[in-house]
Amino acid sequence: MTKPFIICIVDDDDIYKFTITRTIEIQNLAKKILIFSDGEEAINFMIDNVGNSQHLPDIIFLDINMPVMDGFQFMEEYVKIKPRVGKKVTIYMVTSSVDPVDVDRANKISEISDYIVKPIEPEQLSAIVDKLEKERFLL
Amino acid sequence: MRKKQSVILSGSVIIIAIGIAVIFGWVFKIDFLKSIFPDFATMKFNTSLGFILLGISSYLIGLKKRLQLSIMLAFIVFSMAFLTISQELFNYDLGIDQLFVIDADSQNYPGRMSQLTAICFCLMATSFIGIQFENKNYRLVCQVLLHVVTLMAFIGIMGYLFNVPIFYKFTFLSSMAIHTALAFLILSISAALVNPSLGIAGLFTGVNIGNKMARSLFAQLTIITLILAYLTVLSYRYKILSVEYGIVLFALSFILTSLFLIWRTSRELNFIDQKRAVVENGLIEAKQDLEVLTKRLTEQNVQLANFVHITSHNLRSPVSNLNSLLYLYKTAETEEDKNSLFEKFETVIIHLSSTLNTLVDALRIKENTDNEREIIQFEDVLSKTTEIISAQIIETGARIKGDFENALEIEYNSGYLESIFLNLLTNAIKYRTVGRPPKIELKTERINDQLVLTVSDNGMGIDLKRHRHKLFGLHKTFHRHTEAKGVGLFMTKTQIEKMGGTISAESEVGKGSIFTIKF
Repeated sequence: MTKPFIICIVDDDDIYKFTITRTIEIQNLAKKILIFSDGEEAINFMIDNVGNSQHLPDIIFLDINMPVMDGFQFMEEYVKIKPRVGKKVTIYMVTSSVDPVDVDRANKISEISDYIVKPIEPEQLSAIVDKLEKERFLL
Repeated sequence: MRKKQSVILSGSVIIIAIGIAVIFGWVFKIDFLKSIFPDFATMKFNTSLGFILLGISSYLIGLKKRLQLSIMLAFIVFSMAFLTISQELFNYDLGIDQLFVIDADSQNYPGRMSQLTAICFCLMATSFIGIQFENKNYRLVCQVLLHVVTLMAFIGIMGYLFNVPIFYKFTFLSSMAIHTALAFLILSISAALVNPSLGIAGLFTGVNIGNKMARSLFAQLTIITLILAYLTVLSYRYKILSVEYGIVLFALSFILTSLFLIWRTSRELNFIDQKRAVVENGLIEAKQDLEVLTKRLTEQNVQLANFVHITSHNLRSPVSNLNSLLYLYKTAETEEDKNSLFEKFETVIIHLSSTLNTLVDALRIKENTDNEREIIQFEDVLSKTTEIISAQIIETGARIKGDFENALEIEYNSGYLESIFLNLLTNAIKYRTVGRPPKIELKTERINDQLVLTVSDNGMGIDLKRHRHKLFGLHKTFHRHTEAKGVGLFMTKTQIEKMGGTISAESEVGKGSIFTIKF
């Protein structure tokens, strides 16, 4: 059965966007998938739909290295609008960077649930969604 | 240390030998051994016995063995000398003067050593008893006693040299024999080396420049003064000069020779100082070289760390894409699906191999050790570059102006310089403001002896607040531009740094960018 979530992918790598979308689709992990190529596109969407909770994503998979606005800059902007966002959004940082500086920086941002190093395994993806479903169900 | 010890030991042996020779002289009645010159005072039998005992004592001290025996021997000598003095003071006869042999040569108190000799023995024996004490103050006192003996013996020898009896008689009744004075001189000097750092011995035995000077100056001064004094004495004796005139002449010649010695010493000191200055400069230079080297190494380390970071990041992402694609390929059900996935494999593989090529190129630049440099005209490089990109220039209506008046040429690697020009110019054209023909200005300057090239454009600019830290990174792009790959500036920076320079940028979004290269 398809899970009742909107999953958002923010990444500039076309192949990655393709593979993760396919993986989500195969496992029926989302009712809708939003795709953005950099932080600016994503934050603009969030701002536009800030009070429109049925359009906002439940999970964001956020890349670090992107043109125009990178993952950390997206987080800076997101923290500013967060009080107005009418939905609980779980954010994962997904990147191929194994640089301890990046890991540290991500861990310091409380809005980020976890730091995942690419490639993201299909089982990992379904586990994340299952966990979220349990949390929502208990609530 | 070994050298000093050998001086002490040989001094002791000489003293023992003198003592034995004089005893031999008394037993076999050989006058030469008793007084050296006829009519001179004789060394008494007891004196020679005292020298033999003190010689053995000092030999043991030099060896640092059987110190108790050495103290005992010194004590025997002290007692003998002390009794001799007391005989003189209280005017009685203990019978020790001629205990061993009969002295037929002397009129007064036959066989009795002179008061001066007895006092010297007392001082010396006291010194030998205390010379090995732990307490530094005691040892200093012993050293001073030895110096007093040296001085007295020296006065005695001078008396003989100048033939002035008042000196070696030293107002005492009987005079010190010449070889007695010599023996005291040798023994007191060699024994002073047991504690070489104390007293006057310290002045002459140290290794510092002051000690070196003291040694050479004192020896020269002593010899010259003695010669001068001897000449003066001779001139009185043969009545060549009056006493007053002789003193004036002595003083004058003493001043002149002192001046000569001071001149020589100062020259020597200056020479040593110069040598030190040369060594010091060498050290300063070496330190500076080291600092430069350290700076270079630090820079290279930072660059290497960056490179490792870049490599890991840029290779990881296509490989992780390959992994994900492989998973999808395995699970794909239709042939059509598999084919479309296969095309995606191709994309990733092309990307991966181009990344690898870039990294290999960068590595080649970093590892290139010969760095061929040649004199290059900036004008030539610019015209060559504009020729290569002439199609883009015509297409966009770009205007490129080069101002190389302040610095026409540079000694550089020509391949790198061409690549730097090409990258900066194509970037300026690629990221032009839409609807505004690109205007690019190149200018060379000399700032603080350093050659600086600025390349400014009127393009779209870069938001440096956001992107400054990754401007020159690999695969870092800042515009949604299909041709942006994030390779050009990375290579440019690599080349400039390899040649020991730096590149930086200033930019304002919508107005343009200025790249500054310090060669």
